[in-house]
Amino acid sequence: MAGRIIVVTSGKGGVGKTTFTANVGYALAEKGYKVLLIDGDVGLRNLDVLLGLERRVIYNIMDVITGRTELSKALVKDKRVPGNLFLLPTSQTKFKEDIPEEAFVNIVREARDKMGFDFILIDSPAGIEYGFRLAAKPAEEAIIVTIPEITAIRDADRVIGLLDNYGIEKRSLVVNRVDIAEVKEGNVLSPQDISDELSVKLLGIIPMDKIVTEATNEGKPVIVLEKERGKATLAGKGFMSTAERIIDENAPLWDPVEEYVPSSGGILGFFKNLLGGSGR
Amino acid sequence: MAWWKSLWKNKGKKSADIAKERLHVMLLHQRGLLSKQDLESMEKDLIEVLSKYLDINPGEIEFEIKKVDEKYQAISFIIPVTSKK
Repeated sequence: MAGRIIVVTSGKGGVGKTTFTANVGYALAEKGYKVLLIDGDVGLRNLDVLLGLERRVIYNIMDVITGRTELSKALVKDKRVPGNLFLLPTSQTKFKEDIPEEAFVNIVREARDKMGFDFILIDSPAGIEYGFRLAAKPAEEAIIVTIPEITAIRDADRVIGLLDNYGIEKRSLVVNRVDIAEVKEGNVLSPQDISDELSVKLLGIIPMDKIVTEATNEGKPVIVLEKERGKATLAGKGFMSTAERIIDENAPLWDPVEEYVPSSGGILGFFKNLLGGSGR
Repeated sequence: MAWWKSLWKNKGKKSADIAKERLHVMLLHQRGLLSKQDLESMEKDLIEVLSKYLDINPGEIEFEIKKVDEKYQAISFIIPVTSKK
């Protein structure tokens, strides 16, 4: 099987695109696939930080483009999943426009055809300008990340429209930061409704979970942190099952909204109800 | 639409349902399936035709677009009629 080149995009910023890329990339690597993560947000480097690899970055994509180093030497290896997870950092000092489209496409193709990557995830910057176009150019599939807010969904729809220009027909949707209890209450749009409105297949649901911030603080993927703590989390399950559906599109969708059971029992539940039922 | 009317209209509706309706119209506009201009001129035409027969207060017209199924949208105009001419 030829390696799959997937752009992760959203339109709107701040919806958790980079967090998603880092966590799902890690999950794919842990499942035994050879994964390359490319930080497409030139000028605003973040993917290395989320993975806790920021101190290991020596070269970046600009060094490869200008011929200062080879691609294989510019890749940062994640030693937690040796031989499986690699990061191509972006430049912090250059601008997106400094990267020619053709050079970027060549690097991605080289990674797939000569280095044997199974998955190449390109983390697109927010917006629909050159940075997005650059990230989308070499991609054959797209994952659109959004959150259950109409502004984010509207921007996601804009991006989906633009993907037509790149001939990217294989698209799927991830709804991030879903407050399951609030969806149940009817206060938040459900992932299924969002998928229907956008007419894009729902790939995964990531519940709102405080472990995501903690994992970012520590520079660890969620599934690493939850293993350390010996306690499964909703976000961890979301990332893992999304990775499973990327590998096999026939894998079942994990729907935490359907599974949700309100926590009413116990003294804690009593107090939560007393406080206006805002318990999460 | 007057603010008190929209309050009344949305009374009892869940927040997510309001979001869904608003989103649906926004996406139709964005995809160019029904532009704001088209909708406005459609409203004007409707007023013109109906005014021949009925007394209408144009400020009170409301519209609603709903997805019927994968293929079809339903547009409904709610036009309060004051009296017969």
